[in-house]
Amino acid sequence: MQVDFHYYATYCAAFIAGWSHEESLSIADSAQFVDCCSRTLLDKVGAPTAAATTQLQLELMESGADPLSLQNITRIWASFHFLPANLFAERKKCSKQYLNKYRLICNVNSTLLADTVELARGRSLEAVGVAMHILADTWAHRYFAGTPSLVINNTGLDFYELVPDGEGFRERPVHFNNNPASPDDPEKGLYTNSLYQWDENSVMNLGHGRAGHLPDYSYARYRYLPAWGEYREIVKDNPSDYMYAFRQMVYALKCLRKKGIFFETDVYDTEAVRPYEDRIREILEKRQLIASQDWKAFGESLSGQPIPDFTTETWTREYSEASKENRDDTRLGRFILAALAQKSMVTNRIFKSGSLLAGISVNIEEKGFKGVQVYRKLLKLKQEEDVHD
Amino acid sequence: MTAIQVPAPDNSEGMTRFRKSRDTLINVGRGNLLLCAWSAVKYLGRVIMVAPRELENILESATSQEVVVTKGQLILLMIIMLAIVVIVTSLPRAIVSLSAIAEGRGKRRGILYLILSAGLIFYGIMEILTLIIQLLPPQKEDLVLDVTIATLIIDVTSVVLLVEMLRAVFQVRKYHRSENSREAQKG
Repeated sequence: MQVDFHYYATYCAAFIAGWSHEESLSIADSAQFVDCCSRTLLDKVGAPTAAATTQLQLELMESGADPLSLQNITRIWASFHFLPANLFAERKKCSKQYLNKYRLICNVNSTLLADTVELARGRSLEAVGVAMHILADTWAHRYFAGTPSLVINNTGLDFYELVPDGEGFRERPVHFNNNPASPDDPEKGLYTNSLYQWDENSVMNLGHGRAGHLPDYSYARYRYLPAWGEYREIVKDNPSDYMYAFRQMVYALKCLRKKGIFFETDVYDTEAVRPYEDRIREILEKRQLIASQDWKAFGESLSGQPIPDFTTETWTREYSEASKENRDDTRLGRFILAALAQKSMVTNRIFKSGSLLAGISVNIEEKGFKGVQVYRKLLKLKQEEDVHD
Repeated sequence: MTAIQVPAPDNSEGMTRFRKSRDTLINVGRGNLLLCAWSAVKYLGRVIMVAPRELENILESATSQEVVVTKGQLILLMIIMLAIVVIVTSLPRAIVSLSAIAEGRGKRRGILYLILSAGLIFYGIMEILTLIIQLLPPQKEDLVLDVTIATLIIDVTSVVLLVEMLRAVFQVRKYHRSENSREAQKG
């Protein structure tokens, strides 16, 4: 998803769920920041780079195809943008290597999603924002995996957009080009995707690169053949999926506001969203590459307060200006803790499923392993939470 | 504003088999094109490595009355002849490959390339049998063994690809026929 949903729509969902304007802004800010928190940004302000939640194109290009680099890529993308749906999925007649990648395919309403949301309970608003980003992305990025893999993430030549035409749809072939400088043209069905690379582990085969930005456009409906699908077609209905994502976010945000109500998968707060459904549907169905203005207008009509444009500057400035002892209390500091916790949890689950695609995970508490120093903050946080309980 | 219902995907067994066969046609077509290139490389190899020696032998054994052309002209003639051989032997395979790829992409093709494929399969089987016979003693002693085995492997691959291609074509056309009859019944 893009800034229109991660920032503005998350703000709207938080407000509808009962959070105040300032709290909703913090949550939305953090949700969008997941798409900005790269190693480069963290390095610039002297923050721990292990907390990176995304990778810039340049970082991906510089990243090799060696096992360590691939593990680093998988840790980031699987933890924050392509949450695996079933780490114990079975598939007949395939190698263990293929099975491990197959198990990383993202989909909605997984147990890992429930754990992601619950991980944010009782923690900072930044942690809530991180969870909402991940939740939203499970709807947009479903059927793709957060690891470079041609045999999972490639798409077939048959790629058709379903363009609304009266009561039904008109099918139009999608024409992809590999020029990232040329903007997508929804009117002509011209979109950019990543270059076909027959190397299995090429970064061009990461996530939904082969489908271009179509999964991130709320208006898009399309059918295609995923490489893992054994020639079974998928019809992706983004307006419907995004509506479900919104309803589920409202439900999740309500759960996190209240004690004793635990997040359950496949539950949506349809009632709370119903009064705004028509307006939301109108925004989602509008054929535009970015719907920020519409979502912003909707959010401001909800709260009656202006919503500032998103910027990373306030995050980095606050962190840089804070003293070393107080950095954990800044927005970026709290975000870093949330990101480390999330990454740690997902990496651990992938490792426990018998896969090394995200690297080795060590339980610091049990093993007394010193390991990466920055992760010891999580241990300290957990100990403080245990004392508090 | 009510939600618009998108059509459900068609993932019936017939449809998935049809998609798989279409993909097979494209992949096999590409594989066959590579084998065309292999044929060209094989003959080019002969031109470069064997032809000069054979030419020397011809010129040495020819009498002064028989030598009416220069060595350069003979070389050119040999190249032209070999080029014709390459084209003639590669052309049917190229036609078959490109037609298979086109049919895999949804363009209708006639029966000619299927007949050509059958011919190539027959030719391939004959070549394989010839090579197998050559591998048996006493012929074996005269052979360059690794070259013969490599050629055998490639010829077997070529025949397998063509058989697979024919199987895929029949699947695709069978599906089209069943679709057409279903449409005719609806009409």
